[in-house]
Amino acid sequence: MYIDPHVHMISRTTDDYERMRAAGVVAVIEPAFWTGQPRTEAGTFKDYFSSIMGWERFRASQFGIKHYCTIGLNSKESNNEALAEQVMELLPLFAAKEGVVAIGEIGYDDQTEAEDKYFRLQIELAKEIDFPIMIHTPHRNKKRGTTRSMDVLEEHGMDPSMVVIDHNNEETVREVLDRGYWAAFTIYPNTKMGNERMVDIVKEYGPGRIIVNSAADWGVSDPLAVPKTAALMKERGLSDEVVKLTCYQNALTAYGQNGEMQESDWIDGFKVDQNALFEGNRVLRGQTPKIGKSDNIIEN
Amino acid sequence: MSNSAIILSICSEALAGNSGKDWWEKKVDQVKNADRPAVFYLAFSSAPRKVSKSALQLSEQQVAALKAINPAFNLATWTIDELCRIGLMTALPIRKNQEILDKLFSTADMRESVALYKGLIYLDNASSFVIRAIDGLRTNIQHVFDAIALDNIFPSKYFEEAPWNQMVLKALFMDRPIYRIHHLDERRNATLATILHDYAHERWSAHRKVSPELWRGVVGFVDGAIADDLKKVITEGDKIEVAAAKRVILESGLTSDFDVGDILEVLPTWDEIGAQLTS
Repeated sequence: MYIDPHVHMISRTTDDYERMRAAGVVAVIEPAFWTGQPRTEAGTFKDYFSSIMGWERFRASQFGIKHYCTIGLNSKESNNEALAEQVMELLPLFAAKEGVVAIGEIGYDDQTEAEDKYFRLQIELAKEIDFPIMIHTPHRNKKRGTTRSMDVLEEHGMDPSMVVIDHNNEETVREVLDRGYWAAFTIYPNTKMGNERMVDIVKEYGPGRIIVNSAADWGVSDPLAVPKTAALMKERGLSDEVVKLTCYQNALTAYGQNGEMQESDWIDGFKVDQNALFEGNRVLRGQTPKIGKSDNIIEN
Repeated sequence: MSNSAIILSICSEALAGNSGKDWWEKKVDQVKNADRPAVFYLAFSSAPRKVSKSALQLSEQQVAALKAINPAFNLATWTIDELCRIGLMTALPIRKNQEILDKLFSTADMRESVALYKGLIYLDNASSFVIRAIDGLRTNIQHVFDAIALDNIFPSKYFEEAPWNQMVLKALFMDRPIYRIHHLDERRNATLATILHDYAHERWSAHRKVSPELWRGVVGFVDGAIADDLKKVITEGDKIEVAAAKRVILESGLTSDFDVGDILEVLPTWDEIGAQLTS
């Protein structure tokens, strides 16, 4: 069993869901993020938030996968301040809903003043409702941005054990772990981590607070990154226990802290009925429905 | 006492021994004091996490107090978080509640929508939400539809004839138990009888069954066309369909016009007919 605790399924196909389930992914977390093209209206955010906790959750369930999400205003779009203000007013309508496991992805992109402002406001929101936070660390100036994110979190009195710092690399991991945070790694071709490097990092730092994810989205990315990395870890001599911690259990522990994501949600399988409707719509377009327990779908 | 005061006091009692009681009472105070709308939104969404989704348990007195506001109140359909959510709704200052609730209606998930619609009748300005309730019935989600249409006096109290008739027709269309629509008998009308007659013929043309409950809506408005429908049902129908048709004849005072055998036989009531269909 694997969890992919960072994957933008809204950009993925039903083939991906089928392959993920067949490879043993039982649960996914869909962080609210930007969508490739900058949004220009608050209403677009509103419908996006509704989609990732409505239709997308339903769609995942139709392929035997439990779907959770995080809610937040991403750093990149925080720079459109007029829009950001309106999105901040929307967040309380979505943040505490069922199936929301954290506030995120938040943090820095260019590390501007506007990004800093909305990052801090959202840390306060997470504290108000006692939610974990998922931190997006910047692609550029990553090391400094990562350190700064943790400084600001601590300035606001956030408990590091409630925070996952995401998109780490060899340069950031030591400080993140030393300061008591969860350290997540994104196996994403070219821009982030390859999984051979990942195996080496786990060998060096141990599995204690390391989390593997795919961050698969609308770019060239791999929704099977977690199971593939798990397989590589085993090939390279890491124990089943290490694989379980980094590819399942740590994500569950870190993102289970507000009680919304629980192993009991999927451990005994759950009913999959592709005839089921969501607001009158179903995922099928003339195909024969699969009906049964979620684990049965693996066989196909 | 205002509806809000009644709901809040029952909710507080119902939360005895619940680990979310202090949290809920604190949030009610904040919401009453017209704090930021965000406080209301976050508390409303968080309710299941804080107080659980357990079935609501109330004393007879508490049920009676709720029935004083909504005589159609049906305890069996309620959970504790719903009551807490509705308590929070009633705690909003009335001059602001429409604006604040409108935003939530447009972003609500399914269980939130159910609580929102179910809660309207308990607001002290319930009549301000008639258009919202009518719009809510356009849903395809059964639970949301039921929250408005069933076990609720809101439609019979506030709807004009056209939305009322639409609701009854859609309830049949969605295969809902219409005996749980409050004042179904009192709000019957000639237009509704015609709509139901047309609907029955649509179903028959498509070789589909017509719910025996449908005929409840034509009592008192039996014209020649509907009389023919009833004859057809009595000739071709199963036991429960025949019982429904005979009841229409009996209640419409038309026993002398029909060859219905011994009409004095004990017919099931409409509620019994409805309950039999759902069992």
